[in-house]
Amino acid sequence: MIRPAAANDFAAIRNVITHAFGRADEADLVEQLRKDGEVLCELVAVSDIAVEGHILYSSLPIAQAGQSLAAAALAPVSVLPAFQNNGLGGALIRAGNERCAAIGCAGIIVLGHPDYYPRFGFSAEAAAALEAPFSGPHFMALELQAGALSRGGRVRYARAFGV
Amino acid sequence: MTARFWDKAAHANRQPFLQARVAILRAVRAWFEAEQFTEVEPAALVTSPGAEVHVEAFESHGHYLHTSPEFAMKKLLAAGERKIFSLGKVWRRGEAGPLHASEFTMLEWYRAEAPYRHVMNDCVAIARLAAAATANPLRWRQRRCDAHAQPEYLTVRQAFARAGLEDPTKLSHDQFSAEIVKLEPMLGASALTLVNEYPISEAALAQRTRHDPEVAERFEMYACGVELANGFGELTDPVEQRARLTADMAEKQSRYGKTWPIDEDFLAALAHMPPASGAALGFDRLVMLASGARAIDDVLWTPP
Repeated sequence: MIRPAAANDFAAIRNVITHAFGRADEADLVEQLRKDGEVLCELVAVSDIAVEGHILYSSLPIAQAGQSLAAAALAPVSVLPAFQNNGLGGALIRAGNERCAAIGCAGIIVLGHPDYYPRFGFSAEAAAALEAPFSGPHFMALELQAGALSRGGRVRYARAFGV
Repeated sequence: MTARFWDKAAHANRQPFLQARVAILRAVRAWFEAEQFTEVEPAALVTSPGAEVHVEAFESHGHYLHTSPEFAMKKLLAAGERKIFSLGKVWRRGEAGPLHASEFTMLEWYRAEAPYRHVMNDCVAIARLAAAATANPLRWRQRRCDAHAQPEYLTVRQAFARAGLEDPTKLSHDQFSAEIVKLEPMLGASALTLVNEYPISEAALAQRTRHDPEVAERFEMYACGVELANGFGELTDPVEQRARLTADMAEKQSRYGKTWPIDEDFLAALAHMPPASGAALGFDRLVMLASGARAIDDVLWTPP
């Protein structure tokens, strides 16, 4: 089952992220994003045994001609190693993307594997017009509102990313 | 001299632990029934007692008492059974101590067509129902483990890295065994720990993972530093299984001067076995930890 993360999941989420990445950096990032009030959407994949996966989207305003466009940064997404290759990550991304669309995000930005994210509609082309600390095939975007990202603009990551 | 088990005072002393055993046994059977498993009773007297290099079996007149019902249960999967469990005695010669007995109860189960994470979850569910049956945390000596908390999932590589040890896939079997013994007390320290992805040298009857051929779909569950269960995404390739059994029995011969016959009937059945996952859980240990027993003798109705 996929549902919004609750405060009593936070310890389990730390465990999932740490084991998925094999280090604590991403778990620290998630906790800092929460502390800074930057979380747009945070979901967990749970069984009746454990939290098995987690995804977080943080707010990512895009400055366009004096206006600020509400977008989201997808990071991180994690699944416990023993539960990977089971479609759980994909289910989290689909559910999270839907949630971002429902709350009015114009688009979602991800820095990820170019073989993986295109299956959810992300592409480097959609991100090409954006002014960002990243570029290249790993920097991808998904437009949730037609044409919103092709107008370009400067993306501002939450402070916790340190970019 | 320790009191005989039928000494009234000694027995009264053990009553709480034995009553916990009864309650947990009942809960475990009810759980498997609710999961629509069939309880099977593999024969204890066999022509090949198992696959483990370091385990010694009881032998008499060309037969052995089984050290695990694994071969027999896999033959039942080959025969068409889908979800089976066995709750029965197994025998391992020379095992004695606070956590070991030569005769003990093994809970073993298999799910055809299920990935091994499914039986990992089963292990957690069973530990939780034991803890619920006694309404206590799992405990062993000074350690406490909350079975209801989010379990900790660690690959063997992560467990070794956390302890500052070298890559476990680069170690010999002996080196690996020496290191894992040092790690064990740290596992299951506050929540259940499921250690998974064992180096291929420790794969036993587990298949390789799809994402990394150096590690196998094997896990162990720990609570309070005590190993409670061992499970596999089962190897169903008879060629690789034969190679592993042959190598293990050669190792047994060279170390201990004895070997066990290879169960050809098991290898023949393996070719007909569906993909499956299975686990074995030390039932006495589970009762010990759930009841706060001092040693395994506390939870055996008729200890040696």
